[in-house]
This record gives sequence, C-alpha cells and structure tokens, in this order.
Amino acid sequence: MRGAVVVVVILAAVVVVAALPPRNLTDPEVNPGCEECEEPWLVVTAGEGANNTLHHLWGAKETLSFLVVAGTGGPNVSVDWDALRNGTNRSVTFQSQPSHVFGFVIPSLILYNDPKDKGAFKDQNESLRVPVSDFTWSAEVLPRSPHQVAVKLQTTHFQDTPLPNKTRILMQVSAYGEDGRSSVLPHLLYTPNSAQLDLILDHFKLNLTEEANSWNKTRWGMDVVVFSSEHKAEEEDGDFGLKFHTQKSLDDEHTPGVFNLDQLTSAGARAGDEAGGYLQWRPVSYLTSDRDISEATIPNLNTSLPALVNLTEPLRKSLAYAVMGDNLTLSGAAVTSIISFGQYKDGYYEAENYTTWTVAIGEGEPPKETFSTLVVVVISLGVVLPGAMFLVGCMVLAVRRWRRHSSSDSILITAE
Amino acid sequence: MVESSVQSDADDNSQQVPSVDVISGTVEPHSNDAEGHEEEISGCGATYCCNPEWGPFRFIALFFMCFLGFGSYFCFDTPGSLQDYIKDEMKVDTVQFASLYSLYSWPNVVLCFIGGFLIDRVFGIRWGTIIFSTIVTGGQFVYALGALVNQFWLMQVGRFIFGIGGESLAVAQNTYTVSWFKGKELNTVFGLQLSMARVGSTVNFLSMVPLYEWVQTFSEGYQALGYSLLFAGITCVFSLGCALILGVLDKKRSEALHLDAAKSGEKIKLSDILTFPASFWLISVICVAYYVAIFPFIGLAKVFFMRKYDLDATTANSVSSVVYLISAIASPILGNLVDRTGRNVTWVFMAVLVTLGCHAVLTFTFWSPFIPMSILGLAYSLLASALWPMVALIIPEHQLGTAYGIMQSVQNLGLAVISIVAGLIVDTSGYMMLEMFYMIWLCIALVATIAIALVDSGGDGYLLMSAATRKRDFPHPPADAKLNEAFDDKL
Repeated sequence: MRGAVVVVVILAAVVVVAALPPRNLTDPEVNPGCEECEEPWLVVTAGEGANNTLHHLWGAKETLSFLVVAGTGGPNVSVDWDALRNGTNRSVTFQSQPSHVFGFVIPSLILYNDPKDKGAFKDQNESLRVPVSDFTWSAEVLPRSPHQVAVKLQTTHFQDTPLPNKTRILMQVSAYGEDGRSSVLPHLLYTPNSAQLDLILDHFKLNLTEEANSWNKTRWGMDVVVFSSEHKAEEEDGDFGLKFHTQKSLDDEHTPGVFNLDQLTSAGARAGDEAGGYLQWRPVSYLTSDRDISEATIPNLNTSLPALVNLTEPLRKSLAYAVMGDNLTLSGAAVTSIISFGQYKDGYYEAENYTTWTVAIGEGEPPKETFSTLVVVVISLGVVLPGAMFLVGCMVLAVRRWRRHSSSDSILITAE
Repeated sequence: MVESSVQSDADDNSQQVPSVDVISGTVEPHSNDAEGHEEEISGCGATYCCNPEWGPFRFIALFFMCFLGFGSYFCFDTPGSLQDYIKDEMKVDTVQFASLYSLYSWPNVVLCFIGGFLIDRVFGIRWGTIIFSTIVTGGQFVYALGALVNQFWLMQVGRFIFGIGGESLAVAQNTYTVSWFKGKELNTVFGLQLSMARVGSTVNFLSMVPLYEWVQTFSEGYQALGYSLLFAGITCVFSLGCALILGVLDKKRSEALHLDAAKSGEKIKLSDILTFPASFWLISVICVAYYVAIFPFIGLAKVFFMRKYDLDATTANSVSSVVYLISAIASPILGNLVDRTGRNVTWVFMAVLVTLGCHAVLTFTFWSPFIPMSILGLAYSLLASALWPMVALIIPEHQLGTAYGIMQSVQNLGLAVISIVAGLIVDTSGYMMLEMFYMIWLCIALVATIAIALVDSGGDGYLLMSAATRKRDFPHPPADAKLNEAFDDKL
C-alpha cells in the first residue's frame, strides 16, 4: 500500500515538474506593415518568455507555411514586402538573429485516383498536383484568451473563381502561452513553445482536368517540406537531420481508439535541447465533423524523407525561404514528404467529403503523453482498497482461527 | 451467451450438489401396478433403439441435446465478431452497437423467474423447447433482416426477440438433460453441454469474418452484413431441428417407459428472498461484478485488439475466441478440481485476481493479447466452477429455484446496463478507460469475495472448507440435510 502511494506521488510530481514556464502572447497581426495586401501573406504572433521570445509565423499565400522561430529579441518582425512577393531570401527579419527556426511548408495538394484501394499515395499512376498558389485565402483573427491566440484561414477562390459555399480548405492555427491539451479531437498536448494546425478538407471537390474529373475513387494528399535551422554535416556517430518516429501509446483516453503518436523531430529535439523542433500528431483523420473514431481514416506520411535538393518556385515564395533563405538546401536542413489521407475500405474521400488533420508544431522537445490524474487515482484506489481489505481479511481469519484453536484446546484440557 | 446455463455449471462441477436435479428437472416414474408387479415394457420401448436404458438411444438424444443450444450460443456473439462491420455499414457508434448485447439481457431480467413456470405449467418441455427455439431462430432472422434493409432498429428488435428465447431455451435444455441423464452421467453430460456451448461461441468468432468475406464476393455493404447474419441463422434452424427431433424422441421414451413429461422443478417464491443469508447477496455481487468484465468485454474486444495491437479482423476474432476455446477444455477439468478440493471461496478469489491481472496486462502492456486471453479463459472457467455451486451450499433446496432466478436476473440486469455504459466509455474516453472500468468491477468482486470469506469464517466456515473437511464434519450440507435422500426416493 505504501508503495502505491509513493507511485502516485512520483507521478503527480512528474506531471507538475514537466510544465514549461508560461509566455505572454501578442495579438496576431495579419500582414504587418503591408497596406495593400489582401490575402494572408504573413500572420505573426509571439510568445514572450523570461529567457527568449518564440515567434509564430503563418502564411497562406503561394504556399502554406508554418514556422516557429526562437530568438532573444523582442516580438517585432520586419518584413520587406517587395522582397517577399518577389521571392527574395531573408525578406522576414527579427530584432535579433534567431537562435533556431523550425517549420513546414505545403506547396501543393495532390489528388490521386486509388482504384486498388491501397489508401496511401504511392505509385498510383493517376494523380494531379494542385498548387496552393491556385487558391485565394482569407484570414480572420479569432477572439483570444489569456493563453491562446488563433487565426482562421480559409479558401475563397480557386483559380480566381469563387468556390461554392461548402467547398473549402479550412485551417485554424493556434498558438499557446501555457501547457494544456486541445479541446478539439484528437486532443493534442500543447506547450508555451508550440502551436497547432487543424486542417479540414470540407466538400473539397474541384473542377480540374477532364481526366481528373473522371476519376471516381479519389483521395487527397499534400506535398510537405519540413525544415529546421539545424544543418550539421554528417558525422560518424552523430544523430542529425529530421527523422520520423511513431510511438506506441497505452493511453487512448484523449483520442479514443488511437494508440499511436507520430512525431517528426530534429536532432536537437531528440537530444532534449531547447534548440530543436518537432511536429507531433495522432495518426487519425476524422471523416465527419463529429470526429468519431468509427468514421476515420489515416494520414499516411511517406517516411523515407528524402532531403530537399532544389528550391522550387513555390518554395522561394514561402515563409521558409523568407526566413532561412538558401540555408534551406544545406545538408540535413530540410526534407520532403507526402501526407496522404486514406486507408483500405474507408470509402475514399467521397464517402463523407470531409477529412481532418491536426498537427502540433513546436520548439524543443515534444511533450510527452502521461496518464491523466483520473487514471492515477483509479489505479491507486484499485490497488489500495482491495489490498487493504485483503490484509485486514487475512488478519481477521487468522485471529478467528487462533481463537477457535484456543477454545478447542481448552475444551480438551477441561475434558481431561 | 451469458451464464444462465450456469445451472449446468453447478450441476457439472459438484457431485455434492444434488440440488441440481431439483433446480433443473424432476422425473416422476410411473408407479408399479396395483399388484406391485413391474409393468412389462412393450411396443417401441422393447426395441433396442427406443429403450432409454440402452446406450445408443440415449446418446442419439445426447447429440441433439448438445446441439439444442448451439445455434443460440453461436449467434449470441455475432455482434462481437462483426463489430467493426456493423458499426461501419449501419453507421452506428459503440453505444448503439452495445445495445445489441444489452437488449438480449433485458428480457431475461424477468424471464429468469418464469422460464421454469412456462415449461412446467404452460407449454410442457417438448413444445416449450420448440417454441423457445423458434423464438431464437425468429429473432436471429429479424436481426439479419434489419441489416439487409439497413434498419438498425429492426436489428435491435431482433436481438430482443432472440434474448426472449435464448435463456429460456437454456432452462429447457437443462430440463431435458436431467430427465434423460440423472445419476452418475448427469454431471458428465452437463460438462459436455457446457463445453459445447463454449465451442459454439468459439466457432462464431473463428468463422464469421471468413463467412463475411465470402459473402462480399457477391454482395456488399449492409446487405453483405445481412446475408452473413442469415447464414449464421442456419445454426439456429439446425438447433430448431434438434428441438423437433428431441421432442419426438422424448415422446417415444415417455411412452416406452410410461413416464410423465419432464418438469423443470423450478419453484420461485419471492418471499424467500428475505431469508437469504448475507453470503448469497455477496455471491450475487460477484456474479454481476465479475461477468461484466467478461461478456461486455468480449463483445467489444475485436475492435480493441485491431486498434491497439494492429491486428486484422480475423486475428482479432481469434483472440476473442481463445477465452471460450480454453473454457471448453478447461471447464470440466477445473470443475473436477473444485469438486475434489472444495475451498470454493479461495478458488473464486484466485479466479477474480487472475482475471484482474489479465485485464491489467491488456491495459498497461503491449504483450501479445493471446497470453492474457488464454489465462482469462482459465480464470473464467475456474470461477464458474467454484462460484455457482456455492449457492447450493448455502441455500436450502426448496429455495434454490428462487436463488438462481435472483442471481440470473441480477446478472442480466447488470449486463444490460453495463453493456451500454461500456459502449459510452469507448466512444468518449477510449479503451484504456474501458479497461479501467472493468478492473474497478473486478476489484468490487474481489472485495465481495473477501467479505464472503469473513462472513463465512464467522459462521460454520463451510464455503472455506476443503472437500475432505466438509465430508467429515458435515455429512449433509448444512443448508439442507436431505437433498440426496429426497431425490433418491423419487427414483
């Protein structure tokens, strides 16, 4: 029993000790300093901490870009708007040189026909890339709370044609100033060093090529480029570069039916440094707005992660290039991949015409999932109460047996 | 199927519980003629195959008796073996899915009391068996029809009808068994029937996914589900056939031996409840608290195994089937063990503790689920062998019908409610919380077991005693001293 109490205390302490110091979040600004920008080229917010400032940069023009930039300077960001529009490097600068940059960019969507129902995008012959630059976006800053700010990004036009009412890509991007867990499934953990992107492909049917319009077993995917400012040269014993890892998780309390946690981490994050970056997500994409696990599919990541070799035009116009410039092509700095949504027998995208994906992006080590307080309390009571009853029961039985034995002995003695 | 046939468990596992014969059936032989001469058997009874004393005839009947409940046991777990397909095709969540089990239990909260009455006073054993078997078959077909026409409410109605027939059919099966196999063979036959019941459940888990995949070669969606359930219903038709044939055989036997129809012998008197000892109520608590961690768990286990252990549908069902497969083999062996050693409370405690350990392994590790499920099968068999006979050790014979009726009623009520709660927990809080929920119930069962030990040790300590000590100190069970004599007189 004492051992169970010790376990509870230790677990509680772990939960408390693991919390990061909070940050004060600035209000998100859309296109700061640009008077003629209509679309969200750049959304910035910053979390000011005791030791440093964490900038969150989000963009939906040309490419979808999501960055976390750590630095020691203030929260202000300077943008050379002409340079940004022209795709000139380092068009976004900070009050002091950033100590670490991490992020990912989505330059294009992929529509693929999957007649063999394989699920993931891999070697399917019938596919079509849809550049993000073909879309027109709107940005809306959502009402903030003391430790959370959020922006809603939504498509309005495709190839300059207004999209039907229900057809859209909807993204809510949130930055946080304290530890916690998202209220929206899959209930990912957040920290003062992280942000979360919740992406929804909602009734996402586009008028594309004649061939693409004829496909009837289609799924959606995305090209992804993940990068960090860490670019160590290959060492014999060193751990470097961006790597994917899927972690088995015993506790599906927060994401019912999902027992895995996927992560893409930089070397610094794996080493437990503050100067590191990560993406963290649950391998589940919900197919309805209820977000029920019974209507869900899998976001498949191509885990081969080849290094980024060439800077394409969309990448040059992304916030990644605006912040990091040609450092993106340094060894170990960036990798490319594809995320495709689907699994065998999920009915394809047309089953529900709805797919979600939620990912956390952050600085430093990714947060670790632990048992909730409820689970710890239940385990403790479940061990303590029967254990106590068992001990008491054994003692009572022993005492009764001893008394019976004593009284039968005394009867024998009396009889003699 | 729930442990309503636990009466057969008790009968099977305890030679010292002749009350089985009072619970499950009595036979009143025709008296000798006025001059005391034995009447000469004539007609069909004089032939080899129609004489119940001759092995072949009784073993033919045994075959049909064993398969009488096969369809019911097979189809009981068709929701569990097709869980993910039902949820996908019928577009239901886990709560709605769990109602397919809950609705089976609801009618049996009441039917446990009147099943025997219906057999004894209303239908008779032969027609009663045929009627209940027909209800089971009809229920399964309505359930399948609901899937065929994509109406989940109709599936729920079908399961309710199925439940009305299922438990009453088990009472009828027990009644037949006692009527035909009283004496030394009775326990063996009950053990065989229990094993057949488990085999039925095992075969369901092993065959339904391959059957569904075959049906998908000519059908798809909810229609494939409906056709699969229709094919499963063939086992109920087979069992109905067994009921018809058994009725004919029983009539021939009764005519040949000039016997009256078998009666269930269940006497339900609700006022007896007031006299039941505390140990009985604690046994009822264990009965509810333990079995909610077995049947609803197995019902929802397939998708749990698929998601947590990345198993395919067929393998996940195989894991679920292991419990019943092990139980089919282990029940007679463990029953014999409990018979020889006594100490029922100790065995119950061990069984609950081991079950708790199995659930803990499933919750807190990623070990292969075959291991804890195999051990769970052993623990489940051990508990059935040790728990149900305890009732007959503490309740007088003339109250046993009421006692078992109460226990089964409470058990079905618990299962009906907990099935829904389990579905709700899965949908809102995931499988880990569901396992924690089951473990809480097992802890309650553990506490109740310890309480029984304390209560019993404060009394005559009969439940805690070894078999040898019981024989030595209590030639007749303390609950009722004349159980055996009363039964032997009737023969």
